[in-house]
Amino acid sequence: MASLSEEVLLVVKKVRQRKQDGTLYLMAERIAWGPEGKDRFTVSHLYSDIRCQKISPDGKAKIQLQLVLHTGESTTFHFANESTALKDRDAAKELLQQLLPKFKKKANKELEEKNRMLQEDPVLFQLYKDLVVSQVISAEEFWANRLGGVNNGEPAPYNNKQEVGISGAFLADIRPQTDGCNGLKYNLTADIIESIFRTYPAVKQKYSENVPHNLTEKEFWTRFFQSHYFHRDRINTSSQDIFSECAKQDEKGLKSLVTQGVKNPLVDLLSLEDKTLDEGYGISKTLPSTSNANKTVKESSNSAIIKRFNHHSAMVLAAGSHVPNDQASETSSTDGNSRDSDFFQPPLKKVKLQEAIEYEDLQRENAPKTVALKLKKSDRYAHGPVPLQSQQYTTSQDIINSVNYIRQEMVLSSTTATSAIASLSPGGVLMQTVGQQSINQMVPTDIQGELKHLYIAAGELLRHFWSCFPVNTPFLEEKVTKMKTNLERFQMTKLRPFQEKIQRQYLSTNLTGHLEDMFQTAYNKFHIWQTRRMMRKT
Amino acid sequence: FRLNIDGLLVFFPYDYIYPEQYSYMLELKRTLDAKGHGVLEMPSGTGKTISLLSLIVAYQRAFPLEVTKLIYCSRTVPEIEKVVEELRKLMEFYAKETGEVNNFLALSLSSRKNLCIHPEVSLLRFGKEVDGKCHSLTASYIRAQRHSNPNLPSCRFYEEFDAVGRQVPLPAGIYNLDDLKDFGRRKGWCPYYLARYSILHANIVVYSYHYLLDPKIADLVSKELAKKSVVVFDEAHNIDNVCIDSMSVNITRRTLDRCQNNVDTLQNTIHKIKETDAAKLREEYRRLVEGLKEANVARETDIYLANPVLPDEILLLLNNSPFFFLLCLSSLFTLMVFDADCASRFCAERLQSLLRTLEIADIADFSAVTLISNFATLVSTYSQGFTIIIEPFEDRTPTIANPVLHFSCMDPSIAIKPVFQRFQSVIITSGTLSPLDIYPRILDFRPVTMASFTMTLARTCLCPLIVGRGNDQVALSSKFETREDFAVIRNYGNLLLEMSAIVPDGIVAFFTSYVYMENIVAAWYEQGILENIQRNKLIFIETQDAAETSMALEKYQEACENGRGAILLSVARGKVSEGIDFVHHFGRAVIMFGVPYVYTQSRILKARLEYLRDQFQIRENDFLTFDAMRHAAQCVGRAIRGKTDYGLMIFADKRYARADKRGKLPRWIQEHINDGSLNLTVDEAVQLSKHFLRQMAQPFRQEDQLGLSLLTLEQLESEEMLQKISQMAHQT
Repeated sequence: MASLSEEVLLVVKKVRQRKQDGTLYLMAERIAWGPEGKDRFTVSHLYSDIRCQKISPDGKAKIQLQLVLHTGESTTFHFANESTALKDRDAAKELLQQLLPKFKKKANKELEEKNRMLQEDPVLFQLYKDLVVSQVISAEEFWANRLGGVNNGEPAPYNNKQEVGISGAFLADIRPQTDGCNGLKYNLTADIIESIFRTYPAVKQKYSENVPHNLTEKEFWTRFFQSHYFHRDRINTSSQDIFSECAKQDEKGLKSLVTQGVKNPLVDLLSLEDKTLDEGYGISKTLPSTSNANKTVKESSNSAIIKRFNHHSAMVLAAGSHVPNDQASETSSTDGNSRDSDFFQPPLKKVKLQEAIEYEDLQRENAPKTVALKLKKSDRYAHGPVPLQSQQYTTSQDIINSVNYIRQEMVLSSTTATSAIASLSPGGVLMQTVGQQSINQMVPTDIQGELKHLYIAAGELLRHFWSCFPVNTPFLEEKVTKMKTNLERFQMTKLRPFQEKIQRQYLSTNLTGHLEDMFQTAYNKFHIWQTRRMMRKT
Repeated sequence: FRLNIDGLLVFFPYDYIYPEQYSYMLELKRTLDAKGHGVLEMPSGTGKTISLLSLIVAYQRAFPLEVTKLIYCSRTVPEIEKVVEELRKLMEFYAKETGEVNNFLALSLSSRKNLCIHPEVSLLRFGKEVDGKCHSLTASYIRAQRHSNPNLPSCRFYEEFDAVGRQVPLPAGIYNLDDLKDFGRRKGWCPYYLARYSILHANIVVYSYHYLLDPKIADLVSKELAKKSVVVFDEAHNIDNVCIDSMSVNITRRTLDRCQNNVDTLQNTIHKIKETDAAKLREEYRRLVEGLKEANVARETDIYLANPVLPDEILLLLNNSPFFFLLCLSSLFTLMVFDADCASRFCAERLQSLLRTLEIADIADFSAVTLISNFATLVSTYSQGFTIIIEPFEDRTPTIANPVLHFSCMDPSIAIKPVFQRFQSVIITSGTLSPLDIYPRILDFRPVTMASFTMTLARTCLCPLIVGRGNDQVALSSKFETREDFAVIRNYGNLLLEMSAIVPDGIVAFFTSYVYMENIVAAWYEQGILENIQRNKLIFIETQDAAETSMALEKYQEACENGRGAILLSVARGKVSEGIDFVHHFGRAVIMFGVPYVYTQSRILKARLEYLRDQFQIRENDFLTFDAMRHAAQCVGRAIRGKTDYGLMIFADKRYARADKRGKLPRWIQEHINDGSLNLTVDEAVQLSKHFLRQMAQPFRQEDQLGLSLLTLEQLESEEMLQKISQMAHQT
């Protein structure tokens, strides 16, 4: 069981589990424990299965570490090496602390997602039972299709959750507490750290530069709180302070924000005045004192606070609306390329002006405001898809060939089409039951339910099968073959017993006729595909 | 629809009308009929602009000989553009209703910076640079030089305009700034000069105050506008300050140094020219004499808008050398010559002429000497209404000598007098002009109509509250003695904190001055109040840097827009309080911390107060209170921009409760202050606000307003309603 290829990160000896001495191994993907003197693990957990770890309080005699699994089970390790027990435990804990989140995220999210989907959708759950539990197809195959749809985010309104913004006061939430001996204690949670990183990318950068090779995490945050950077009235950031650079970066960011200017002309104070008085004219409003030097320290610290607040709020705002911002810039940049899109969008200034002069209550009917149509290429909208280029047929043989080709391409030949129509008309094969006795009178309800399940399951399988066409990748080839065997297996394990059952109850076998037809069509398709492939190979 | 205003058919481009709009138009019509001046106050957001435009346009159409032109002055560029857009709407309505294309020409004029389309010049960031660069490309002598040397740079737009632009008048239509630019680009003409040329024959001109009030610019741009024009000053509550600013000059040592340099250059150039081209100088002298004579003749025939700088009474002999000017200047450097040396009267014009003769291209370089010459002109022209204050050092740094000479105008009527004299009707209007009677006094004119209109409301959508005490009964006030008081600052903070918890979206808070705001923000920061506020809303703060503030403003709006909510801390009399509207969710509450008195210790202000007392019998305190209250009203009025809007107005100072303060608020605010809300504690204010906000959050439909604050044509024409309206109007 102990595969040699696994990387062992930490080995702790003298760890007891269930009163048995042994050795604890922390490996790249799992944690394991084996009793002393044996070369196999009796306990082994993948990290992704572990929900959390717990440790015994410091004062306790027994130094223990407990792992709680997602299933609810737990395993307790007792560190028994008298001299180094505490150190061992802490080493293990630290390492786990680093490892667990990595696995947690992925595993958890997926598991939760699957669980939720099954719980919310009883049909899906039934399907899952029919197909996966009865081992017609594997769980992975089952989910591959569904989660794919979910993760690609197309028809899934959920999952695409809105990102939670940052509280404006997250720094205020870090209440320093005196620890009784002339020091301050700050409580940091993962959320707060995340907030700090998102609002101040400069700090994040510093963090990744310095932790863990230069500083431990703890040291980093200690310095952070000690630095003037954290304190808003930062004026004289000393050069040793690693955060002085951050302050500079912030300043730069603020400046670039300012120089970017504002998009809304109505709030642009710079262009508000039409004609500013020349220097020297007008009643001087305590001339903007050119002497920055003789500003008192208090004053400059005051204005620093004000700057900080503006910057902080701007950053919080930006962090909250990061995604839409990106999109906006993206679309605007692409819009810049195609000129015709500008036509449909009146410039911002016009819109704002119109908004400003509008008296909505003076107008009779406020037609619901419509959003201007955004078109990248207006001509494409006007003309529809461009027609195919006409082909030059030179000989009659060409024409015949292409007609044949088209006929092959078509799924339905004229004969099958007519037969389909016939069987769907009154008196046709598929319409028989409808005409005479409806099925719910003829068939007991349990059979009906079973049949329904069969239909759903078969439909699901067939969906998988048909979705492989056209087969143009090796992966699909493999899949289509697999699906065909799946179909056959389903027919054997599910459909046959059901047929036998209804035969035993002397019901018309016609009930499953359509199902069989569907399978048959799939098999036919498969055979055609297979023979064609063989031909191409030879 | 079509209205009948006292026998005048008025097209009104909306389906409904507010009763006060009707009264406003009635009053306006009377003013125009009497060919007199008027002062009209109507709350913002009640469609003042469109009422003005509808009536005056109708009047122009009905009596084309009586009123030939409308000159609409507003304060900021966005305001100007808004007016033009409203006008466009009106004209589209006219076209639709009458089916004929009317031949109205309306256009806006702005500085070169906003109109230039020259690929390089228009990229410059500051107005002064654009002006200077433009001048260096288009000045007449530069262009004359180019005849001999075609390699000199030129502005093809100006050349094109000069060649053909003047012959074909601008086709009728509405031209906003962008439309002018478009038109200019299409034709290859300079939009700025095109607009300046076209305002002479346009029916409606929209531009900023300065083009009419600042003698330096008015002389260039507006002096040929027809006498039979109606002039409208919108947002005119600060008009006296604009007048004063345009006539005041400050001179520092730096100015003098630069001036000295300028003069040296001038002298050198003159010497040089003297050697080569004495004839040119003689010509320059001749022009001087001619020019003055011409000015005199023109004034007599009344073609021009009188330049206040050229007084009517005299035209004198002058020294016969162009050097008199330089002598005069050099004597100025000693700061000794303030006597009415009649020669220096024409300094400004002389300098212009001299610069032209000397072919100095970049005027921007000579701003210092221009300033001095303007100063000299002003000094020698007026014996009254001005004062000179020399401050040897800045208040803060009494040890460093940094002398400043303020030549300050104290009488706003000087600058505006020519306007009143020349044009037959001048309308002064704004949302906040209370108390109305003070404006005619300080601007020295006699209006034929004065009226204040209130906002008729179907629901009281504004809620003025005067918070006079903290929860601990500490009196709240920003007055000097308690300014540093910890308890007051804490209670102010508490007020903001509580409000941030209950008011949705945006809150705007105004402080009395920038320094005061800085101190309070610092104190709040230390007390941890700001952190608590941040739990509820993001905080943005106005700074002294306009670009930074613009950014903060935009972010503020963004935060209101996305639902997070924000607080903007700002300063009364600042740019935000004057030019930015906080419609709907951008401002659900305005908090005015303290009474925004001006800084009373300044010597200039003291001199002005004295002057007002002596000349106009306005008591110092009355003026100060008036000034403070109009700014408070401005700040607080920022939040209500219409009848569908709603907002809290919190006056956080116990002094607002006094009758002399309260009585100076505009009527439309005053009438909603009831006795119960005069001296509230923070808690009480919060309770009232909660109640108010809950009420306002209910859906508000058009039907709720109909018949009360919104009328259809039929309703308007009913006897009963007309009576009601006239009753309301008579209350004023």
